[in-house]
This record gives sequence, C-alpha cells and structure tokens, in this order.
Amino acid sequence: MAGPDAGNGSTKEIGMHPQESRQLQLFGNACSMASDTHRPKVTDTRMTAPPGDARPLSPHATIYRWPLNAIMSILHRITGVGLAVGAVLVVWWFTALSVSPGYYRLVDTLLTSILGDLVMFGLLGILWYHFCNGLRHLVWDTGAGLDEVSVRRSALAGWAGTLGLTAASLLVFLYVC
Amino acid sequence: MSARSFRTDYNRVAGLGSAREGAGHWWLQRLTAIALVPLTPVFVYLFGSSLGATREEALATFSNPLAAVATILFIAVGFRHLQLGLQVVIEDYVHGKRMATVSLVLNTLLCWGFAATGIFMVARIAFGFAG
Repeated sequence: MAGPDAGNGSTKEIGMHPQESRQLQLFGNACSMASDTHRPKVTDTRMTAPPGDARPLSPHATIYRWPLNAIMSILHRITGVGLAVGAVLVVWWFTALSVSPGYYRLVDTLLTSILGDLVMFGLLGILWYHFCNGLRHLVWDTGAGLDEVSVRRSALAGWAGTLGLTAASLLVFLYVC
Repeated sequence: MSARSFRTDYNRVAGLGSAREGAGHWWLQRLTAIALVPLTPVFVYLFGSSLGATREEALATFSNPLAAVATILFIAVGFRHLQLGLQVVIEDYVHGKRMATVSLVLNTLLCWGFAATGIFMVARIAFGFAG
C-alpha cells in the first residue's frame, strides 16, 4: 500500500479505501480458520459502513435471510444427529424386552410416560423429515430436480410429506393398533 | 547395493496408494439410504404398535420371522447409515487431530456395538430365548 511517495493521501491515490483493505484482511482470516489453531483475533467486526460511506457491503452471515433450502439442508443434518438418540432408545427398548419382564416394564413405562411420549413424538417427526428430505437427496443424486423451480417444489413436498407421514403414523398408532 | 532393490515396483507401492474406494463412503451412504426407504415404514409400524403394549404382545410381534428379519435389517442398515452420517459431521465440526480421531473411533465402535446389541436382542426374542 505504501509507495515510495506515500503521504497522507496514499490510500486514496491507489484507489483503495481503508475499509476495503480491512475487509481483505478479514477475508484472509476466514480462509485460514479451518487449519490454524492460533488464528489472529479479529477485532474489526462491524457490519456497517463508516459514517458518510454509502457504498453497499456484502451480505453478512448474521444478517442474511437463510434460503428455504439452506434451512432444510442444516435440518437434515440436525435431524440425523437427533436420530442417533432414537436409535439408542430403540436398542434399549429391545434389550429390556429381551432381558426380563421387570426391565421391560421399567423401560416401556419410561418411554410411554409424558416425557417419553414427547421424545418419541419428536423422534417420529424428525425421522419422517429426514426420510422425506433424504428422498429429495436421492432424486438429486440422479441429476434430476436441481433447477430452482423443482427444488422449491420438492422442498414444499418434503414438508408436506413430513407432516402427512407424522400425522398418519400417529393416527395408526392411536386408532388402529 | 542399497540403491537397487530386488523388490518390484508393484511390490513397493502395493497397499499404499488409491484403493479405488474414493467414492466408497458416498456410495454406501446412498445404498443404505435406498435400503432404508422400504425398511423405515415397516419398522415404524412394528415398533410404534409395540411400544406400550404388554410384554407378551411385543414378544409375539417380533417372534414373527418377517418382522424379526425386517427389524434386524433396519437396525443393521440404520446404524451403518448413522455411522457414515455422524462421520461426516465429526469431520466437519471436530477440529484437532487428536479429538477428531478419538471421535471417529468412538463413533465407529459405538455404532457397531449398539447395532450388534440390537440385532442380538431381536434374534433372542425371535428364537424364543427372551428371559
């Protein structure tokens, strides 16, 4: 930045605003975040332009409205991790069923208590979400349905499927079984 | 002479390079996902209708060979799918060589352990050896 005749107005002369060079520095930090453990502390985190500067800044992660599909993508991951809990509970229930009447009574009572019902209902919902969104991924893997309109349509279908399958399974468990 | 070796070029590199399994993780994640599409509704029905039932009813349900096989498949394929998925999450979010390695090892061991336990318990019920 500092040339041989760098004076007071050096940044203006080479066309770089002080804010701009600061942003470049921030970008450099973000890039090296994954690998280094002692990354330099980012002190300038303001998201607004300095007073009197009307130029637009890039959208920042914290003020950026998440697109529907970004929300669904992270939900797929979160529900997947949540289903790990469900998987452990299922094995616990089978273990109890297999081991003894007393153990079965204990675990089955816990899993059908008010808290147990809430947890199992939540797991049912996230299972169907992960199921429906997983189907979208399987379709995308064939190369189909990747245009904006199709993605939006399948997103809504995914939510409808989640609600529909959750409601349908609840009805089956309450009235048919 | 040490610079020359009696080992062939192939022998020196065997097992060190690409095993042509680059897409193995990706592919198995999809394969298990496809298998889970029919298995999941069956399992949800079997498990959901047995949860809260008497022990005799639940034992009878999973003594049925079809129900037992479907449940064992769901547990086996489900835990493999879970292990592959959690592996990606760990690789993405757990930093530091030591923590990442420990997490990945624990993930693998726990998933296989829970899967084996679940399969054994269902088989024990199906074979009529429930305690």
